[in-house]
Amino acid sequence: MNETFIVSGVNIMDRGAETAPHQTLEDERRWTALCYVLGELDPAACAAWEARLAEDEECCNAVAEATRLALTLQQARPVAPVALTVPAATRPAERSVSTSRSGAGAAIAALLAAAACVVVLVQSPRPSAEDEQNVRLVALWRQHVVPSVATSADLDDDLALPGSEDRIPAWLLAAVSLEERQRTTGEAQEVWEEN
Amino acid sequence: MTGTTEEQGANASPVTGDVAVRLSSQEVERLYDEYGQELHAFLLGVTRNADLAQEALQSTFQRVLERGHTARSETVRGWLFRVAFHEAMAVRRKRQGQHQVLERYAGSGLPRLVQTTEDDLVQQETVTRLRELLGKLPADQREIVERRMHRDQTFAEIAAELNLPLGTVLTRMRLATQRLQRWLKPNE
Repeated sequence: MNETFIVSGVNIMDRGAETAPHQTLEDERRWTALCYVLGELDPAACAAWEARLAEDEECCNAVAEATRLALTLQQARPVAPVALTVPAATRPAERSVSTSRSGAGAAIAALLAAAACVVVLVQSPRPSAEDEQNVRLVALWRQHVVPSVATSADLDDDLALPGSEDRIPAWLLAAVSLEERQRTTGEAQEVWEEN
Repeated sequence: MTGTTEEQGANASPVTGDVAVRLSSQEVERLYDEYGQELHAFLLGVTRNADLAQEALQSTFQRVLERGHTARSETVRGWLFRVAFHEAMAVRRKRQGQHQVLERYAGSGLPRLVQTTEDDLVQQETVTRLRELLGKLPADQREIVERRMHRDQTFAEIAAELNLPLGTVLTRMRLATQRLQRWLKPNE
């Protein structure tokens, strides 16, 4: 295997801080195949490996084996969770967090309270400008156009009467007469004021 | 497969070695029994997608029906791998053309090998054995395997999180998988 296969900028055949034992050609093929199956090869390395797959039966066999190993490893998840190493660089920070636990608790409580306020504000209905305008119109309608709003039941009753299509309901007459009286009074008032 | 040294002008059967026309269904079935699982594992590795692998496997055996009689009996395995690889590339290109994203291998949608009940039992034994072997790995190697295979972290992410050189992470994973493969196949 003359090609170099790269994972995130590192040649996967390079030895790290911990030396690997003597690697055979078969070992290298298996390792490259596993990196390929796991999707860890850089695009160029992936293309180079696939070019080998097109003509090398042993590389194909290595991919099949690596796939089986990867699948079996994923199924062989330990029953009990494995205790993972805490990176050395994060330990002091974690200790400092644990020693100021009361302060952190107060901060969390404050955050929760703020979050609750936000939730209340978001959930409470806030009339928009359009809503406010609608409310005003309804009020004006109630005040100046229809002195007493008839219910739908009242309307149904009126419309259900025999010959109701020819008869003006009493509530409508009252409403119209009231409106007329108000309008006349208003006009008279205006004339009186002009004079 | 056309125009390679694997083909014989005399159309010898890979199963019987006799001069033949197309393979019989029994011959194709025997090839499937012998190489189907291996090819499926290979196709899963290439496509990293269960659907694509299955599609490529079917296409591969369609080619076996059409042209299997042209392969030399002594190199039929290599011929099958090459056909499978070309079929995998074809289905991958087709799928990419449809803007469908391939699943990552280590994701939650883990593809599985097509297995019979008997195979499942063997696989269960292998899984149990591998779980035991994982426990025998040095702790630093076991941790890399755990993070990569069970927590879906990339090698680069593992290196960053553990404050280790990437080369060290790769070496530990490599040593671990070599050990596991040798333990699983002690006769090699």
